[in-house]
Amino acid sequence: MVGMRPQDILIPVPAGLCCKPGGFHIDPVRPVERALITHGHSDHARAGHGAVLATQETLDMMRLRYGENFAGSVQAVAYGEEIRLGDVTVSFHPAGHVLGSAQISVTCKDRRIVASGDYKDARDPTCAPFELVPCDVFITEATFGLPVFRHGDAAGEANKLLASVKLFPERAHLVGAYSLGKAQRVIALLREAGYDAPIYLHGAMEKITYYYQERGIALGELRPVRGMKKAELAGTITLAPPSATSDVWTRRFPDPVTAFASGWMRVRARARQGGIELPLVISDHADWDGLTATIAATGAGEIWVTHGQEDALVHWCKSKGLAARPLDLVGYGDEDEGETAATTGEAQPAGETKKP
Amino acid sequence: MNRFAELLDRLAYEPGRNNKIRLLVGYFRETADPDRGYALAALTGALSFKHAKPGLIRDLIAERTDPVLFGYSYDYVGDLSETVALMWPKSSSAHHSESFLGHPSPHPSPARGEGAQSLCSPHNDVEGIDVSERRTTGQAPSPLRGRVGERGIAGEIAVRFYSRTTTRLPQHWPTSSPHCARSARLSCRRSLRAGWTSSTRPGAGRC
Ligand SMILES: [Zn+2]
Repeated sequence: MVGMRPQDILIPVPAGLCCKPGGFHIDPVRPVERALITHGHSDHARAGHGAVLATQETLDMMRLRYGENFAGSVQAVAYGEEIRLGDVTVSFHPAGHVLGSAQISVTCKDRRIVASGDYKDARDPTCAPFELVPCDVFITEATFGLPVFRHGDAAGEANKLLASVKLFPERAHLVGAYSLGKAQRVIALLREAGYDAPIYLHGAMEKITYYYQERGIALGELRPVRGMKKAELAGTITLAPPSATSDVWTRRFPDPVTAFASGWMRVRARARQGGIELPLVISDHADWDGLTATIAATGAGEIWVTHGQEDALVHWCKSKGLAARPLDLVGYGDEDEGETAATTGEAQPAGETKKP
Repeated sequence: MNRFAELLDRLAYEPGRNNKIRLLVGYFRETADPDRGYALAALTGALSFKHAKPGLIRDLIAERTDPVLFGYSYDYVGDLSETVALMWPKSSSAHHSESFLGHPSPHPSPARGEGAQSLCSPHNDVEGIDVSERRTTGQAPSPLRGRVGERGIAGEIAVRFYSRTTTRLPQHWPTSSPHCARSARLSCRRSLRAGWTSSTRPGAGRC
């Protein structure tokens, strides 16, 4: 129908992105009747919705985090499958962000909007590669939406870690990484680089990492770090949630080298802020070049920019003649906060208390 | 240079004296000459950086980047030389080689969206070094074009101060490979002379 505006199809409301003609929200931050979820990170996938439509992996991850009754009802959708909801057709397409992550395409009367959630166009052995979906309106994240963020080659960062392990065989290496997606990607990169020793896991990493293995992602031999003696951890690599690497929890390791795998590590002040000794630039989000190349490649004439450095990316779009605006969505960006706080307790050694 | 930059980062982040020494020993053991010689000179304060003034660095980056984007970036990073090093245009060969989209990135379809006609590839934009100007010279794109972009900021400072063309970049990039190889070596050496730069950028100073 001529005259249908994009905002008649999808519109930002306090609960998240709302599709009125389809009767659903995408990644709602408040409980809603019907939710379409792009991926399992806790800022996008929340409990308490009436009905949830998502990929099988995303549903499984929500179940792991929130328990069986995280939603009234659930429906799994395969990549590429078209589903009619009210007056719109939706389909899910790989976003390359974490296992099961999807961009959600919403089509209404030949006008297509793609809500990409979080995405990256870089290679990742632990999830399906990003799929380009041509559209009229592309909704993009802007987590790394400044031209200073260029992530480079993740394999090189894994080699940097392994070189450090070799140089300091009497020290433990503690790698801070978000427990959903990043941790498994780091492990997979280490395996690709030829590292075949057991890799140790903080308690908060275990469930989700074993889930990746169940889904057929090869991660080699993994062991819980819980119960290991200090001396046994010399020369080893342990993956832990970022918050744990500055915790008393680290006292169990011999003179630990603290690494952090994140796109933020590109900027020195960010690494210093976190007391990181070995910054590893490994990101699950597109960098500046990835964002701009993807935006251009979708062919979309209109770009909506959300969570992150909206202003810079909107400016870039406009300088390229694209209509662009920031979306005022709140509640995104802390991918891992909740689950880390909730699960570090189990990894505490007896007699030590967690910092408040 | 990337290895040296890595060493500097590790030294800065590592609090333990003995561990710092281990890092230095490791670096000098595995790095070949002349790089480790330059590194030693840089670490012992034997290199001078008199030409690398903030004003010049600002001018160089202003020629290559959108001022608004530079402003946002500088605000975020908080350090001029680090901002410039991170924003410095990458070579086309090293550019985002990991992407599934393939690069150089496709031009946006002109069929969709107003203003689509005026779009140029974002690749050219971040590449920065007046591609359009070279196009108007009527030269066919050189297979060596990537090398042009590989010159780091220190190389640019070197061009300004060590060659006769002090205010403008050469209009015609050298196309014969011996010449190119020589200038690539030069830019590499100059990068070392100005060890403060290009450090954390992927592909910086690769030679
Ligand atoms: Zn995410």
